[in-house]
Amino acid sequence: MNEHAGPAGTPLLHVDRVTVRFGGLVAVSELDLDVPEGSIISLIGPNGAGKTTAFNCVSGIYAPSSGSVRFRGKRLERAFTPGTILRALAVGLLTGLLFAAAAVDVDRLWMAVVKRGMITGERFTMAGAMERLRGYFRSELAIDQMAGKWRVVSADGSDVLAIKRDLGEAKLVRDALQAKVTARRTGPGTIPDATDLNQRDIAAAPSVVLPPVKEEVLDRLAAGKSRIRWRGWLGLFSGMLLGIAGTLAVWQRGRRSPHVVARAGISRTFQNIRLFSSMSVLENVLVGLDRTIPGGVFSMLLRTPKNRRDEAEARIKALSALDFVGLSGDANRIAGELPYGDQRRLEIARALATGAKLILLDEPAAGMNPSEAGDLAGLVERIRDRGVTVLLIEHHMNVVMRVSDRIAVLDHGTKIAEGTPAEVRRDEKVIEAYLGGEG
Amino acid sequence: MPRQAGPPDYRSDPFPEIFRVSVQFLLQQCLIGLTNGALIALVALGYTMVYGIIGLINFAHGDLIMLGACLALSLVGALGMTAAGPATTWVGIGGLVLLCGLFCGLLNVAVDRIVYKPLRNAPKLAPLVSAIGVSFIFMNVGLFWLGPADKSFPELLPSTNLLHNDALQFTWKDLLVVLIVGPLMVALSVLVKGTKLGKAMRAVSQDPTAAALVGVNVDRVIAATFFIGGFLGGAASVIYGLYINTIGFQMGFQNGLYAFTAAVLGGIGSIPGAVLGGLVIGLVRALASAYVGERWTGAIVFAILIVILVFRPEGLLGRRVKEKV
Repeated sequence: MNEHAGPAGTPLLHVDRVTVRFGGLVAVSELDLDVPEGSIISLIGPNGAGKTTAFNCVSGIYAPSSGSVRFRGKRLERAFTPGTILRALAVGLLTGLLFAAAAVDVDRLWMAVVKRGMITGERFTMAGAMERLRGYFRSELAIDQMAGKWRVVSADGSDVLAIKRDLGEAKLVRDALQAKVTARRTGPGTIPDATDLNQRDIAAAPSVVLPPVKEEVLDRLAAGKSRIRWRGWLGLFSGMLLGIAGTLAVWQRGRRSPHVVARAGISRTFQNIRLFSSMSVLENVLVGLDRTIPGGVFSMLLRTPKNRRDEAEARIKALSALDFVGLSGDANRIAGELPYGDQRRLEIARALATGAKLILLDEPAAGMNPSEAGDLAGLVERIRDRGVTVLLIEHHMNVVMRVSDRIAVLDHGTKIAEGTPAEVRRDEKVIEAYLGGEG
Repeated sequence: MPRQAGPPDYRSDPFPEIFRVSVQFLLQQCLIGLTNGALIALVALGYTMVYGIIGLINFAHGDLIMLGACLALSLVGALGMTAAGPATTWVGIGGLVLLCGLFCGLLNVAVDRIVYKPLRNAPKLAPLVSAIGVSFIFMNVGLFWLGPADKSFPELLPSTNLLHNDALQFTWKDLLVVLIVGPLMVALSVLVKGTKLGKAMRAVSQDPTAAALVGVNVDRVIAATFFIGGFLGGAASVIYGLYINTIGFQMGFQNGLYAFTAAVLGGIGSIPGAVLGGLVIGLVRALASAYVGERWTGAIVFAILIVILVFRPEGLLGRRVKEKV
């Protein structure tokens, strides 16, 4: 944790024995690469050597099959924070409640808590609903009024046990039946718990005539309490476990995301240009800068003064990035309309504007004539002079030999040579890889 | 079903109304059509925004709105809004729009997180079929919530005419649609055009990988899109309840289909396109049911859709999609 500044000896980027496999195909095999801060390192090799795959790996598009990529000594992954645990717990609780609701029979629960109130026509209140919820879990009998008569019903209203004209009479029947149900539940000879019914009412009216109720209905009502409770707890726990585990698994899968890498300070351009081609040149650069603007959706919609100031600052930064690559005159043009070479430079400006410390350029001089390529080499050097480290893939040997501090040569996914431009130029393996065996 | 003025009475009138070209009748139908169209547009936005950003036709969107309407109905009952005075009613409607919008927005985000996000890199058919599945799940929840029969939504607004004109009807309900849809559209266009979130949304819709590599949190932007689409849908569900006055668990399917058609007609992925498509479909429906007959509306709407798509497959305002390299 304390090494976020990086010890003096650590390179800015440290690629350690990275292997990338696609099925049976090994695209990059055991690649080691160190990029010291403030240097320009080139990655060269024939087509299909695995250079772009290595780039994708560094910028977080692919996860390496094995090995590690470290930036300033750290793996670029989303940190495991208390927020992660909290989110997992919240999702776990939610799935737990859903599972519990399913396990205690959500249809009956709904009937007991909401629908029964709707049938009897009383106003829905939270207190009433809570009372019915408690009653449901204790499998208490209840009294409803319907068509002017009082009905003794089971908690969810699915069984009508008695119909009486008089409320007092209905209550007595309810309590007497409840006593019977409770006695079954607790077993013969035991005393029912006080919460289940009002003992005094029963004692006061010993002569209640019980309506004929089927034995299996009483059994079912008696079994209800413990059955429902057990199923509820089981559902809650299993749902919570699954929810937490699932959230963590999904989090783990999304841990190495390109935007985390980008925010840590690595940015890149692409071999086939990938601009937001229907947006303006300025907007293309601003997309990368916008995360530096604080504030939520509301401050954006309301355009608070602070928000305006921040946006103006971002524009200035974006314009200076455009100026750096020589595109400040084209800021309001649509990116897709720019000539090819300008689109490449816009991509570089967009990458620089994110405030990256390391920039990966994938064949920036592709399709350029020698004079344009020369300009580009100058641009790469100026980027280095700004204090931004450059990792470069390039086929124009003039550019590579001119700007690189060190060169790594890849062939068939393996690094076959590394050294200064002069060393690499003389290396026999490199010559063989480029010219082939017959040369 | 759109409300409509009664058909011309042919028996008492030797020259049917239609030959006399009653301007007021036509205006009335256009008014009804535009109000209905605004409602369709609000739903169509949800389809078009999600399609624009992840290329998924979210078939569950119509049913999401049905669930929003269920919540609205339950809230109207629970809060006792039918008994409120006029001022409280308007505040209450504002609250309903907000609550149902939040509900639908969050539900939409949850569905994206749970169902579509794990399938982000899967072939396009996998999330599509999952969306159909989610639609069925929602329909079942709606069936459970509302019951099998259509429920009538209480008339919270008086149906007095606001115009001092007997032939032209513009009621509080029509005003309500304008009052809710107008500000929402303005807010949406400010959001997409002028804010960093909107910029990020446009960037992600063009190239998610490139957006991620300049530091845009793609998942969050997608979640925000789902939320906004869901919020608009939630608002639409409240308006639907108050305007049409009947909701049922199957309402999501038909209305979703019309809204989806509107999105395709306007150019799917294009926000102004969805609004235009919604208004066009609303107008066509109203005029067709007034001049041709209620039972032919569907046929006419889809015939026009086919004709337009033959000549402009990208929709009215859509851009021709270049094949990505």
